[in-house]
Amino acid sequence: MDRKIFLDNLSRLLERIGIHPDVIVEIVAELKHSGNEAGFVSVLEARLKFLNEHGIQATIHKEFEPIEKGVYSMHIAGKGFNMRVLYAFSDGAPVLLLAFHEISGHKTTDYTGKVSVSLGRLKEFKEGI
Amino acid sequence: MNNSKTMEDLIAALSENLSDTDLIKADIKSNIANSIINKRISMHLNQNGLAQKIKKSQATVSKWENGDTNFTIDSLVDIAADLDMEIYIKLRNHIEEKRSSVYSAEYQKGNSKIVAFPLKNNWIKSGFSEDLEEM
Repeated sequence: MDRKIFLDNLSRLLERIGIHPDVIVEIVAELKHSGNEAGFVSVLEARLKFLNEHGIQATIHKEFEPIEKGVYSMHIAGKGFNMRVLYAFSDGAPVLLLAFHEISGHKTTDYTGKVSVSLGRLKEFKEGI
Repeated sequence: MNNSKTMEDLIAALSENLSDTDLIKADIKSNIANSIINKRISMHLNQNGLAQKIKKSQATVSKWENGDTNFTIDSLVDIAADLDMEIYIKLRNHIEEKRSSVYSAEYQKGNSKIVAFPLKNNWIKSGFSEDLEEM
């Protein structure tokens, strides 16, 4: 396998999805914490492909849900990891805004403060374009 | 803010410690999971509905759809049969992939000049025949 070509193709496949720079740091922190990097990447890749394909309709998948004010949540969980990624849409394209580790055992996710941070980052993302 | 960070940066960061084979596995597993989800959705079923239809547990369907299930060939064939889907698995040498790609590109273009391939090179001729047999 030509690793560079493979990764370039995957990047191109998902390039419609925008990313706030801070979310990369947060996702990588969860990845390192997981102890199961291959499993983590596999699940995250599945979610990103689904989001890329279905856009705002991705909530037909049970691991996606609308929260409020145009912010949505995507659940990435497996052995060793349990993360939420919040995203919104800019010009019809999804933008990943914030990721955080979800503490297991809670019936509902605590989004206190997360939505306002996400909206702030969405503003920054739009201004940066 | 500088929006220079892109999907390419995220993928580079995620793949840093993964082997080539880990990357391929993640790609295949995620594609299979999403194929099952898309098929289920097209059948207007939730996970429980699909589980009942194919006589599996909802937890099993949920596991399949998560994206990191290491399917066996047996389970994949059973899933494909249950969901009325096609399955296509092939191991081939890299060189076969290249010549197949050439053939495929020509075929998709509807290019009847495929016979203009350098037939004196036996590997292309035999590869072409194999591909025809598979169609």
